[in-house]
Amino acid sequence: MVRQVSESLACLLGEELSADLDRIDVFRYAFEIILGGTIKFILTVLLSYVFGIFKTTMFFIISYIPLRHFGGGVHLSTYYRCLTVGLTMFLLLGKLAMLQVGSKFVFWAIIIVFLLGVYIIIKWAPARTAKKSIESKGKILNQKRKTFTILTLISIVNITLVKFNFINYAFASVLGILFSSFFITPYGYRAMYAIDNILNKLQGGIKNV
Amino acid sequence: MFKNFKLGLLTKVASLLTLVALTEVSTNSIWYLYEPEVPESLKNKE
Repeated sequence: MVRQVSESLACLLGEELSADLDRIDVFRYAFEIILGGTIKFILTVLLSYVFGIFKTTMFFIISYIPLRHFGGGVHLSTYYRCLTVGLTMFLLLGKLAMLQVGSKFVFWAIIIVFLLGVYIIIKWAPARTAKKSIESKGKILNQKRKTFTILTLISIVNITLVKFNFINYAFASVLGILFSSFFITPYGYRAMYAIDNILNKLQGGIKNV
Repeated sequence: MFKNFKLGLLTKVASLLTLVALTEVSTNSIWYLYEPEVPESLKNKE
């Protein structure tokens, strides 16, 4: 549905501006990103609020999104799978972050996840996808630098949160880094492809390779 | 006058959409777990 609405809006805009087909396709792509992202964000905010996990879910997302934006990572094959799996993951991890954990545990989790994140960035970032990949060595290095900077900044913020006793928010943010990093690795790809294949089988579709 | 205003506004919207598309295509990822089909005209700009 998001694709169809985006195509219609892009065609309308293209007609008004007498744009060529390439330009209309660029509009469609941008509309798909904006509409898809907005629907997901609104649903995440609403459901997390309903389940009483709004703040931890937001802290999870604040860490998850920038790392994923620069580090890349695996994608599911359709928008609705993304919406369902993504929302379920955000809400479950937002709930998990509500657990009563000690400040020492979260502090060491921040350090371990930071080191793990650095290793993953050096080895795998920016992760390729079927539709997009960065080939230039200069761009890859630049992307690694940006991802590392974001990881460092979030980790510093997390240590500050622990210092001021916002343990659950720091824990949610650590989970965000952990899952975003995991989706950059080949193990994250395998996990998501497995989910995609199970859903394909349920719907009688084609297997991912 | 209204026609000029409308055209100006739509041109700005189109520029903004192009900026979103170019930013998205150069960062190699989107927010969540699904990425739309990248337009052919943007593939060489990655």
